[in-house]
Amino acid sequence: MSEINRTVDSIILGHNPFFGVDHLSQERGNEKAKKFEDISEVTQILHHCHDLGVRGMMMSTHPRATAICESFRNDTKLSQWRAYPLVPYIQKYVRGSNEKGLVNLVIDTLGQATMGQKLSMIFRGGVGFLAKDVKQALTLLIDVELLPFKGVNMGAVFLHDTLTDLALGLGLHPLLDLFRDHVEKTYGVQAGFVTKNLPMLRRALEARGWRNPLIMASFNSIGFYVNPSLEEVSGSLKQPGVNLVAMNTLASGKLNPEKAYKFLSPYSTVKSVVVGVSRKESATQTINAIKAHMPQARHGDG
Amino acid sequence: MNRSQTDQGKKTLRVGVAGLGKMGLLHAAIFNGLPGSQVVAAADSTATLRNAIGEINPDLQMFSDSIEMLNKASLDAVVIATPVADHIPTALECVKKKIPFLMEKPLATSASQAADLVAALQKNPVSHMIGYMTRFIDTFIKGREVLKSNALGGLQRVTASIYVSQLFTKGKGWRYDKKISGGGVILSQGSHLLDLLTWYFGPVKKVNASMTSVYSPEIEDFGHLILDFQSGLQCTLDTSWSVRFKRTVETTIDILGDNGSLIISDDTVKLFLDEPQGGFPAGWSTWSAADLYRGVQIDIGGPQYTREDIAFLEGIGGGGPMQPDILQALHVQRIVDGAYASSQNGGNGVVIQ
Repeated sequence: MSEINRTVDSIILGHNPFFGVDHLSQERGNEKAKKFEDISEVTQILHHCHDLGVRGMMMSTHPRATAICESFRNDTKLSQWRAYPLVPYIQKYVRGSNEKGLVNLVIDTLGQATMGQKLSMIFRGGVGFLAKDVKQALTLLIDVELLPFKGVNMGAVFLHDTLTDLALGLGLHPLLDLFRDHVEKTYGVQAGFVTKNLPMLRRALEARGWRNPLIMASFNSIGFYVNPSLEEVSGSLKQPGVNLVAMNTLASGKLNPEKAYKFLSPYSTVKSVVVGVSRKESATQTINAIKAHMPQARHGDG
Repeated sequence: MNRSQTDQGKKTLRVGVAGLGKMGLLHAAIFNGLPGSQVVAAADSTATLRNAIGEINPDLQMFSDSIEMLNKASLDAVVIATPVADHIPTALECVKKKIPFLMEKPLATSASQAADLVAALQKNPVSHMIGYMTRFIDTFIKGREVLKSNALGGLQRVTASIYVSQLFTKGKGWRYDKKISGGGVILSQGSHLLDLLTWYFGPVKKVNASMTSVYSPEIEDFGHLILDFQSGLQCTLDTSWSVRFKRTVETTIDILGDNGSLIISDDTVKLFLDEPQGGFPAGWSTWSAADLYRGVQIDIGGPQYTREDIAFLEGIGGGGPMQPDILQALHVQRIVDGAYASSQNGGNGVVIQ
């Protein structure tokens, strides 16, 4: 797959503030969700980050992502950006499986497929094929999830941690190969995996013969959301052979950017940082701190 | 994934999972990831999921029926994550076979449905745990520790709520079928909070309730409860799954005492004291989820589930009593039953057995 562009933007904006996610304060998250209902509030922040040199954004297929993708297609500045979709939009599946059950939800989601995809489904025997050909169904689900990104430049496509970790825990490791192969073949970009269990995922992928997988996981000096322990994750990241997009680097606002990125600085496996910003001032401070302390991220060789 | 012994030389427990909905999958992945256990069998009536998982991981024995799984697979422990109405029959079979079980909450569709299981466990005790996992969330553990220090002095009143943005159209599936689920948001989400409140403040003596429905013809979408604890403390509780801007479940317990107040939520514990007491200073003390975080061996849907599953495994290994147990879950169930009875009777108080 030599034609795959394996470079990853060194700074990737996170979607969390725009979509109302705040790991330290649900109240704060809810306030942001309300503020960013107005999409021009989002583009203002993105323009500011563009001027600071940022060109990448992580995005789940949250309903608001459709509007942001529209800006990525039409806005002069944002059309230079690359999106890093995170699939599937897991909140939809958790809520939806409570609302109508997992299987009904998958069937409804597949109902959003394009006409061509639907024809292919009928050809394979309608939704009954779900039971017969799991792998086909899953790749189709990925395609449906990625529909809002049609015509948008992509840097990589990430599998949501819930699915990565479920596949890891349930011994469904071939699904990770399936995701990588489908994303690389169909979209010509690298596949990445978000996980809450970095050392365990790395061991599993290496056992399957993977080299230099692209992984996104929490990494910060206080070990917030870092499993199984800060020591073990630090130890893993000191060994080359993995490309990490570090998340939760500010421990949901507990750490100041200077201190946070000084901590990440010695790790050459940390290629990129995904960070959420919701105000211009904090964006400037955070992005400048990343540039100052993370030369590996500054060059971002993927 | 084939392990017969752990590194410590302890026996690896063979786990079966009844029900492969989201909770069944979650527990299966955790038990498979923990060193002391391995999932060897699973049962679900939905062929789609069963075939999908069985095809990719052929090491897992798959069954279409939980009882069949219990009869045919050799198991040391069972996770019961079926729709609620099937909890009791599945657990009764586990008791018959003396297999320890971890049952998802709530216990049953009603306290009367659970009577046979309570009797069976009294006659033939089998290790078991009911999956009220909020007891394993760091902030709620810290909150209880602060409360037990008596920093607040005498307790005056409690306000509590649990909300999530989940239902904005008529729901499909078993959760909205009263015969299978047993009830709406009070039983489904509210029971988590009732478990925490009884863990904090002891048994409830009386409940008054009113409930309303917007989207669900058979069950409640909103519930309002007044709880009178045996201790004399009173608590108001509000719950809904049809409120906006609650992306994930949000639980808050606000406690007023003679010496200050304590607000406990999923992400923060905030204590304010007039005078230093219980080892805490005067003024504000706060603990965030980040301050309290401890890593776990495998995290699938939050570390609380992993801790819950570890507590279950340790309990089987003789590491002490498992909590919450059936009697604690039964008390929660009786409060919910009482709330439904009260609501149907104009909000008049119902005494809890």
